[in-house]
Amino acid sequence: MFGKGGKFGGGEPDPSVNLNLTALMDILSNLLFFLLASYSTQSVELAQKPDMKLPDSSSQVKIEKELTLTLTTKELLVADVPVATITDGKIGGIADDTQKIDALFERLRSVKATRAAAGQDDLPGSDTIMLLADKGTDSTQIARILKTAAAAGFVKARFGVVAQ
Amino acid sequence: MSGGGGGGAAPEEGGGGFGEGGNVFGEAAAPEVELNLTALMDILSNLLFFLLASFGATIIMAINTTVPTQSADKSDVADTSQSVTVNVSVSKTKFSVSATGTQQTEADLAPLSIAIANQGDNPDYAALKDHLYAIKQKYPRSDTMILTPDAGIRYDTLIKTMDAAREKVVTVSGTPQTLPLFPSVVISTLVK
Repeated sequence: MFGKGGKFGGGEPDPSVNLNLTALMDILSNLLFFLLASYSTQSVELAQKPDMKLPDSSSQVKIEKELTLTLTTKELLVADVPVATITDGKIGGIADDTQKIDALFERLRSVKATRAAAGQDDLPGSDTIMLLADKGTDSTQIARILKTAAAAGFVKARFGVVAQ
Repeated sequence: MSGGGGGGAAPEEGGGGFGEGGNVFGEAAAPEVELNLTALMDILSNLLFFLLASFGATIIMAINTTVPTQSADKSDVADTSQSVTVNVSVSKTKFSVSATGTQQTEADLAPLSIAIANQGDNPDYAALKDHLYAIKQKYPRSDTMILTPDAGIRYDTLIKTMDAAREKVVTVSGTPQTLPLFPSVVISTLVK
């Protein structure tokens, strides 16, 4: 194409370059094994919401697969299904002295009934909820959720926190 | 792309020692092998980026808790001489700590009741931990804390209070050990 020499007609043709990839392969393999080993440390994945920052904690208790209640700054969700909105920091805009949250209670009773119909209401963890709540939430709202859950048959709760 | 690694690229020594390119048995030298690592690199890079993207996910832990429930045969109040149930009220200005137990007299329990004022704007978690540790030393079978937050207390404060009450690192015979304090937490609210 360019005659006997290089592209511009003169000199020797470009020598073929052999890249030595040994070091790169070494690094990649190390990284790969490290990441693969770390990947399985958490058996349950929980999706965090953009309008919710979990509190930090020194707890070392691992999470388990349970019914998840998520309280963001905007809404309350049960298993990712919205059940109530947050107005002025209050669930459903209801005053604090009304302890039970009706929409949440109905939803949890429905979950309980579905599990009972499937014969799964006696399984370990069937009376436990996992609560993921924004760290700025008023604890009164947390207590309301816990009381409503207990009234619906979920007497135990786990708080989801970010490991320090 | 060729693999210039140690595997296939034997140094050429001009056939020295064993005749023209042969070995000790007089056989012809094996031809130089060039490994094509392109596909392997492709797969490794894909895996690496996928794992790197996943690795940044936050590790989430859990804190166990319960709420007060009415039960005919069970009670949260300690019923042995070596255990008490600790009540911690959290307000915007202080922690109020007290203890209850069915086997202790009022005179036994009164010294355990204290108020721990905030340090500046923040609750004094260290002082709370120290006081709970003192209670634990006196009543070593205690493990239950009833936590009562006032209205307006942030969830974050609740979690940090539970952290302070869960355990304490103490030095025993020169070895640091983690001693559980009050890991069983019941969250209550004031009845108005």
